Amino acid sequence: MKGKRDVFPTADSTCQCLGDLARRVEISGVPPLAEWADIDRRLDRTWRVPSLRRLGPVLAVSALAILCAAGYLVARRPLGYRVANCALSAKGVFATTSARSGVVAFDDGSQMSVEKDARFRLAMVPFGHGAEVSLDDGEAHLAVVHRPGARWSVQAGPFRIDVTGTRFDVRWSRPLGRFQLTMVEGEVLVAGGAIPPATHLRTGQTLSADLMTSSFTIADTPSRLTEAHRADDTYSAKTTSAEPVRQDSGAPRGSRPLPPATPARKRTAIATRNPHLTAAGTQSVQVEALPPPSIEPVRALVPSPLFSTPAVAAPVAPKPSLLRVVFGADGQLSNGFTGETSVEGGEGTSFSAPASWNDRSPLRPEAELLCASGTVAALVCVNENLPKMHCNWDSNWGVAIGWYARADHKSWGDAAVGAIAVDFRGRSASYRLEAHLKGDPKEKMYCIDNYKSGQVVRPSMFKSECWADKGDTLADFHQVDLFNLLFPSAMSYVAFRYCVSGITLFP
Amino acid sequence: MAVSPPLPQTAAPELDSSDAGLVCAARAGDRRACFSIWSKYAALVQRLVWRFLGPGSDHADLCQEAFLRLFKRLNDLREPAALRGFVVSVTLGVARNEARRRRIRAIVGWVPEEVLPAAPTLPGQDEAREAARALYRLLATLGAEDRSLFVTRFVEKMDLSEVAAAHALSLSTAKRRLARLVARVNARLEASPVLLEYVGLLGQGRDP
Repeated sequence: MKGKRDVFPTADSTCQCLGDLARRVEISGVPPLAEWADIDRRLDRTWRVPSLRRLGPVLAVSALAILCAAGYLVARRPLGYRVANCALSAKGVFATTSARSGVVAFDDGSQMSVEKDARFRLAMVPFGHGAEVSLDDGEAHLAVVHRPGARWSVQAGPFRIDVTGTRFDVRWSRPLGRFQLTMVEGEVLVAGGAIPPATHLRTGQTLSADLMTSSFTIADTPSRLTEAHRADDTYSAKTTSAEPVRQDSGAPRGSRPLPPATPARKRTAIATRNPHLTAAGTQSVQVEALPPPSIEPVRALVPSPLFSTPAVAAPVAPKPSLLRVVFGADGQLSNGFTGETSVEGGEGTSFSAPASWNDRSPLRPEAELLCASGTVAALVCVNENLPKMHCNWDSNWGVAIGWYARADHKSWGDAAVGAIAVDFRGRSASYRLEAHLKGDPKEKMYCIDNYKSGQVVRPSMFKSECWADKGDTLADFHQVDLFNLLFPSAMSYVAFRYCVSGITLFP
Repeated sequence: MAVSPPLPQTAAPELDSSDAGLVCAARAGDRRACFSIWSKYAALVQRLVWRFLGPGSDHADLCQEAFLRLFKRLNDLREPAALRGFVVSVTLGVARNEARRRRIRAIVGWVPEEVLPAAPTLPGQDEAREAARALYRLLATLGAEDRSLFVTRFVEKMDLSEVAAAHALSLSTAKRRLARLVARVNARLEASPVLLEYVGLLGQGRDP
């Protein structure tokens, strides 16, 4: 073989040689005229519809793109639902009257019955994966059909429950600031108030939380308790009828009969308040009366001493034990505070909302939320790696949504209460609740670092150097003239958006 | 199949027989110009297709396809005088597509990979005929682009600029690809004793 290769021509001439070989292939004759006749005939057809032929691939690709887009939009469509016996306000809040309970039937078979005098909102998760239910006030009972990938959540005041496929009962007494969650089956994740984030609650456990004392307990629920409820429940499928549902004569509040066991359904009962979530959005909402037989009864709430106070059940309303501050449309507060709301930013802060902004600009609520959004510039620090690091905190301190205790900006005085809780929602950050004393320099604030939404705080928890957990503390709120919820600046540029949704005052 | 071609009418104006004149007339819808173009280049198209794909039975269809595509794309021809290059380019495109189709059909098993017919197509010695079959078997293993380059450069003996133009390549790119093609062909030659023998005989100065 070696000898043969030695006499080979170069690579290029080898190809030339092969090309010559191909040239020796005999081609059979010359093209006959009949071939032209075929071409001529086909040319007629081709030229008759040239544009359509040329557009063929374009049309095919366009049709495919349209199909894909349509499929995506159909798939992304949120869960549909129908609402019965509930009035829908312009702000997207559903409300039941004092005479009738309401029902929401979701397309996937899930249902929510709402007690009388309740207000709630619905925000649907894209791709029909579920819904976020937010009750502004009142009591509701959910029956959620379990589906793979479903995401259902319930916001109850500062408490949030992520449904991971389970059955449970939830009660939220807003006037008392008390929350109770009883597991019937499976487990949930719960957070809010003093409860650590992502707290697991399993079958047979009951979580009780008290906002007044910032405490919570988790106890094992005797199984017979649940069984007793199954036996005692008196609720029937009258939810959509005009008849009152609740049996007030001696029966526990919300007491209902248990339906036959339905493994596919995850049922909850809740009584909550949360104005955070927005309304139904773009999905179609039909308000109509649902046929009573289609309403699946849901189980009863567990009677608890927590909720047995006269403040909830007595026919004559007692003096409320806490105050819910009301946000006026012009930013003026009432029911506890008489001052106005405002928003203020540090040197490196720019706002996208509110649109027009000056120092201590009045902040008007939108959909009962005091919101601010924008960006905060990064802090500029010197001696970063030394103990004497200094940053421009004094000028670039972040952004604050605040409110004056009184309209005349004087100290709160005798109207001051014993504790305060601020409900808010926003991007994850270390928020700070601040209180300013009348007569102190503007920049001096007493504060609580890493403040959580709904956390009930007393004056003694405010410190003059909260970031270091030291300094003077407040004796009371009497001398306080201003409160702020601060989104502090950070070492990097950061966008912010947060809303104060409620302020609760405790005696 | 006694179909008479649409020959030029006697009353029609004289047709400019230059490439540019034919292109302009064909663009205007003059069917006589189309016929003239076909008459002028049918042999070239047929030869290119045959040399690209090897002897076969369905090349007439491909030749028709090449002309149909040519007439449809006449408006894309920027320089009417360059009709010949355009014909070559279009024909090679059709042949490349056919080669790809055949390869895919062979992969999915619809038909066996292209096999030369047993009928004698080469005049002369049996060795040359056998070598030609081996050559087209080798070419069938190349990509359509490489095959096209081989036909234009080594079979049609086009110069480099013509090869580059026929493939819409720059001259340097065409050179690079030809060099790569030559290396590939020589590498695959090792697997073909018939071709090795044929090339070896040539190297010794003997006429195979």
